[in-house]
Amino acid sequence: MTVYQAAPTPEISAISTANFDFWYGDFHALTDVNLNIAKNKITAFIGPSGCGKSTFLRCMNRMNDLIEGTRIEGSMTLDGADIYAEGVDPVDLRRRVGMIFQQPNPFPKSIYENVAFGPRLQGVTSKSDLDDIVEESLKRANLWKEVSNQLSKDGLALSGGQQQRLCIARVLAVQPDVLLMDEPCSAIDPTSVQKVEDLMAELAPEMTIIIVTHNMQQAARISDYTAFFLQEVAGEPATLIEYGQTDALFTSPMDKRTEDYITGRFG
Amino acid sequence: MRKLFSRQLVEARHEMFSIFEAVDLALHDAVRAYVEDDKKLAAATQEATFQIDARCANLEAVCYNLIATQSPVASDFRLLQTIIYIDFNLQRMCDKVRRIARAAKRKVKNDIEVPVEMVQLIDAEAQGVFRVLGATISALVNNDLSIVLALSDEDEAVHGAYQEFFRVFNRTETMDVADDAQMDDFRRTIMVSRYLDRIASISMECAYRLVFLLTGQRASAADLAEADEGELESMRIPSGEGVILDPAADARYVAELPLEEVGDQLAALIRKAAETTD
Repeated sequence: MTVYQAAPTPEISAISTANFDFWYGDFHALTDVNLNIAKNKITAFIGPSGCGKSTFLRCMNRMNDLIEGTRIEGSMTLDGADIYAEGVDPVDLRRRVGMIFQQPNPFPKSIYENVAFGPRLQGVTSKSDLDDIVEESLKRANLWKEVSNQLSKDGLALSGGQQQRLCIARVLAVQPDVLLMDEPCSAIDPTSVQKVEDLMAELAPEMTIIIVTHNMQQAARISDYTAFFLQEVAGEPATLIEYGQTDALFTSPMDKRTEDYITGRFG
Repeated sequence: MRKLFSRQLVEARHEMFSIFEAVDLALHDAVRAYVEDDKKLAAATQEATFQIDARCANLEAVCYNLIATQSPVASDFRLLQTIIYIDFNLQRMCDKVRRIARAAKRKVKNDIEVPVEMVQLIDAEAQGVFRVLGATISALVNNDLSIVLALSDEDEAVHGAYQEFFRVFNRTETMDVADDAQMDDFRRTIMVSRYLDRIASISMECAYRLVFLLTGQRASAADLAEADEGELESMRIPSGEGVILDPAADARYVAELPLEEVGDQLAALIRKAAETTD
């Protein structure tokens, strides 16, 4: 039974799930997840390792489709349309729902080519159009000032924090509606973390952002809403325990399991 | 690290109770000094209040340090907020206790004759204040919201005594006041009744903060006046019971208080704690 504290309603949501279950083959990983992700807000998923938060995140752009034997039950919608409906093109979905991973993963190409890659796939061929997209995306990712005179430099030659922002610029270049971030700051230094967090705050008014993080302070600092997942018994499916406004969840959680987790009493 | 933090929180909570006990005992001394014209006791009480101030300042620093270093959330954060709030109000109460002690000194030094009836009224009012403080401490130690709800009746009794004191004062026409300076001395002396009334009100504010600690909701006196016990109990959320909130351990830090003033529940805990220590 999930506890909700001033959680978003479907009307203001970008992504909504109802009775959502997920399996890796025979393993029932997630059960009965019901939540609405508020549009153009930052939502944090927290919980101990193995509680299904990254799994759930990857369901949102059907990244789990790439793993053989996975299946879902229930529904998940993006702007009211079923993500898992027949005829939905996962590639098109992933353009609308971009993803940033724990380890920065630039292509072994130049900074310019990294950012231009997505638009090119979408059919943008004009050099001036691509130049504009690259500049705009790098500016939005707060990286332009640092790399504007070295766009031909190998993306892998950048620092970890810069690489992560390059990956964000690469996602922004295809103008997604939703940005999924799976522990995006766990492999970068504190200064870079600050830049990524600032960037998230700047992007949020025009983009729905969902972040998985093990850093409680980061979740409390940057998110508008927080969802706490937990697998209570090994081998049993994890589920959503508590979901609501971040300030309420971090000051007055209503479920003891949430209280114990965020105060560090277990997990 | 969590174990250390839990211990630090428990220590801060115990210090809060210990300071509360010190304020309560200092108030007893200040009132006794006033009623019995004991200048020496008044001076000692005044000195004790300065030590309480120092402890309050230290506790406040400890709490802010924990916030800065441990980044507390949930019940840990609510507890620290509660301790800081109560600590601040203990300083306010301590200031009033000091004023009562000063009034007692002034009364003896300037040979101010307060009519016996008025001294008796102050003594009676003080008994009511002791009960408010005892009930507040009992509510905080036992995490008992029902005591918080019942407190307004106790406070009403104190406020009634305060009003009665000034009704009697207004009727008193036998005072022989030589000049304005003597009148000021007299006025400061009778302000003890007002200080007592304020101490009871501040103590109530401390007790109301228990609602925030246990429910996460900020309830005003008006909210609580309309709330019933069942409604309040249903609002409880996890608050560190058994880890941070431990009535049996907390009771040890208020064990010096007169048992008849703290209610049966806390009195039993104090007696049990004493037996365990013996």
